[in-house]
Amino acid sequence: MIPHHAAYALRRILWSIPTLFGISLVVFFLTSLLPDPGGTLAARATALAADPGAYDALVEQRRQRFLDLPRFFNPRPRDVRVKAEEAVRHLVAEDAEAPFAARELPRLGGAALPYVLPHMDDLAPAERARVAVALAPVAERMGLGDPAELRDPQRAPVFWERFWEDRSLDFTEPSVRRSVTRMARHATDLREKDLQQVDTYAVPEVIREMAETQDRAALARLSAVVRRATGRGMVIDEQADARAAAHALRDWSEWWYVHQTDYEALDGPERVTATVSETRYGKWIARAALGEFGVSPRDGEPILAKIGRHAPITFALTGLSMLLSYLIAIPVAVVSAWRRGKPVDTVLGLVLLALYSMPTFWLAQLFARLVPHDSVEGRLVLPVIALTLASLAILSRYQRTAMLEVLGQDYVRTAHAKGVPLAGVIVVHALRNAMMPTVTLAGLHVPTLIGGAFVVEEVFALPGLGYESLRAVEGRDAAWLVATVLVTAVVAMAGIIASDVAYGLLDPRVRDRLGRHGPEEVHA
Amino acid sequence: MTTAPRAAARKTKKKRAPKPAPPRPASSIRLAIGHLRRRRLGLAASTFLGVLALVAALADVLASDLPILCKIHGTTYVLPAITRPPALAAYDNQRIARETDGPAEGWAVYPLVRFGPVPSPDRPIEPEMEPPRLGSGHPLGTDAQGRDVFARLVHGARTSLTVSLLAVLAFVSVGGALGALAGFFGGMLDAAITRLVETLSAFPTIVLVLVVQALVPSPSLLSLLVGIGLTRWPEISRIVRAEVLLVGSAEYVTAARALGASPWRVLLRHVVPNIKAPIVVAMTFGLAQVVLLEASLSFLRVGVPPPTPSWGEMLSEVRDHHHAFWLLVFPGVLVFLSVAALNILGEALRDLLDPRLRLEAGPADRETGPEPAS
Repeated sequence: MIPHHAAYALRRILWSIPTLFGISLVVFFLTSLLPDPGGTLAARATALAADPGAYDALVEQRRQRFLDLPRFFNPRPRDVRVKAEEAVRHLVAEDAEAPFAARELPRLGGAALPYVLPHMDDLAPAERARVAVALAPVAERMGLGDPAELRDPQRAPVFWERFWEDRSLDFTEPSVRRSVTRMARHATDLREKDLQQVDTYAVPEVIREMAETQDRAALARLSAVVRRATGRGMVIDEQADARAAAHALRDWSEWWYVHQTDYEALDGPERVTATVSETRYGKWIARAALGEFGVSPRDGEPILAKIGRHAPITFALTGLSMLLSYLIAIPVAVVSAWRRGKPVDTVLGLVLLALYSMPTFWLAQLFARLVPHDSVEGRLVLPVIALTLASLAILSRYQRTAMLEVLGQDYVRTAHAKGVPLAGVIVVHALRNAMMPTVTLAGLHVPTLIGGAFVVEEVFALPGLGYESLRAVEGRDAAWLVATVLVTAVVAMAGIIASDVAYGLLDPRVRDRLGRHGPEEVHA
Repeated sequence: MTTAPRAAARKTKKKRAPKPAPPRPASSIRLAIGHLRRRRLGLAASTFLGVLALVAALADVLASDLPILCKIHGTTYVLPAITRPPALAAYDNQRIARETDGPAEGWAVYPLVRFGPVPSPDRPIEPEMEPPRLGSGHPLGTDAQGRDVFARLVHGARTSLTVSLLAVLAFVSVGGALGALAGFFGGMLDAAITRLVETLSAFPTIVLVLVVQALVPSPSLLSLLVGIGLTRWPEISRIVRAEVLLVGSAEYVTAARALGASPWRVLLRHVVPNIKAPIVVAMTFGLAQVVLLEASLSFLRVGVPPPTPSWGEMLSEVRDHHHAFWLLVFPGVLVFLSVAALNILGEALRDLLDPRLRLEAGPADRETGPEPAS
């Protein structure tokens, strides 16, 4: 049998799962506050008319943010097949989106051909010509045909018809897989050409092989293949050091995460899971859960590494300040509860009220002006004190109330009556019992303290999360901000849960209140 | 104003003010002193807040770049600082004074300080001294952009109070409604709202508002209010839920149910009227917190968008101008006094409005303290 309190702790922790989900939803909502640069057809049309390169960048940027996907549910996930057929449809209909389709089709490239070329015969000659001309860049990448022929509405359809007659067998998965495996093992011009001539159709296999292979030379060859097909990304140099290789590999896998459905067809069960995973939220959360927040647009450093660098300062600040708050607040509360109604109590009460009402940043600025804080200790000591003073009052008041309650208990009077010295009564009998609720409250103060730390860091120019976030605001670094708010919320939630668990473990009355509907607000 | 004669019997859970010590019976002299002191504090706090509200309301009369009343070029303008007549677009107090003294016929009634919170566009900063500085016609000096500090303080009071009131109204209505629903109907609804409360209370307010203000296309008062409201309603919701749970088990509620009143009727006619007091108290404390928060956010320059005057934003200028103590002292003292006054008022209101809190005191109080008067 699970012990009662272990069951309580477990239940409380399990109840944090919906909360985590809620936090992720709120942060996801924040990410959608960012303006969508090409949200409307008109905006994209203007961009395309002005500068095709800029249009490509815009579309790519939207894709990186998964703006093409529905938010939470994707009843009809679009894989390369749907995308290719859609592009052909637009080209055939010559509608408003046809210019976009004429750029989309070459981007999809060889991967789209199995869904385009077999159906060419069903189209009217003029329509067929339009589609064939749109495919011209693909053939150029493959190194086939001559540009004049490919762009001639008369000859292009014939070229593609012949192409498909000759090569449709190359566009099958086993054939590509064989070529890629061989290529990874040993490169020859012929093998390279084979892969070049299926263009992006080889990308899924190559990416998979890149993730698996340990051989640097094979990586170099494979990355050259994807680079040629997609026109982007880094070729991993055979002589490159391990860090550069890992960086490039990471870049490719991130790219693949975003672009998988551009080159791969979904089938059967994949289609079902894709209704959830191929959504804006699904794509975002799957990455965020692994701590993958992208790179900072300010210096190209991965956000996670950057947070790892700055977070210790913030958490040291909040942790130390919490410790100091308790060290000061508890004696203060004991004194004022013990001397209740006396001048000491009144004065302490007024001082605490004053501290509670004082803006943290104001105190911090006063400190920063009055005391030189150039040394390392100075840089941490003053901020900790500034942050502590504000949180002192709440803790101290809470502790004073608890203390007053305990001082009125029978066992305290009994201790008095037995002749226990006053200090003994207060410390041993009263404080020990009165401290429990206050100490377990610590976790609840985490959100407030983190917020305060943001301000204090800014005043003292301490390079923690807060200071860095304000630089991120100046640098329009949304990735950093989103990651920071997620990290701080999760840490704060962990604090709250820890508080609840500790409180419940120590106090059976609370534990028993955790009924069918999950945790009550224990500290309400 | 804020305390009744029975203040002596008052017991609150988190009271800072002195109470009669348990073992000894309270002497009437000490009670009277405590009573008076608290009453004085409460009175001072509410007076200060009243004056502050008045200052905020009359900001344009106290400090403005245009006169209160003036006649120039044959036209009389009433409060041109508010109406902003196009004919006076290129004017400020100084130009009006020059012209009414000189070429143009006319007169003007000037505000207390003849500068607005935002300098008139065509009046360049006097070049002889780098701002911020003291003196030269500005009673409390100027800030780093040559704007009058007094005017910005006075108009900043308006910003601060408006933002705080709006935010508090917003999150109290949302939090109150959700908390009442959760506490009253219980079950799945309660579970869902409790999850939501836990979710949102995990977000540090400053962090969330910072990110909201940075990510929205154009930061505005509205986005600031949404950011504050989003993280602040859970607290109110928690309080209201607990109150509703308490009131919901009262006999008169059971009686109303037994008489066949619909749940909504019971909630709106019997429960809600009985939890008004804690809500009012929570609102007052909420106001104090939001005033602080707004100042902090403006200090981080993610609060109300510039050039709206704000105390916090003035304080942020000190970082680049260390000698400008007046930029540190005046707005800082105002923030401090407002927040302290609101906190004192909140405590006074809690004592005054919530008889239940008086009864709910710890056993120490119950044993020896005098019984509540009513």
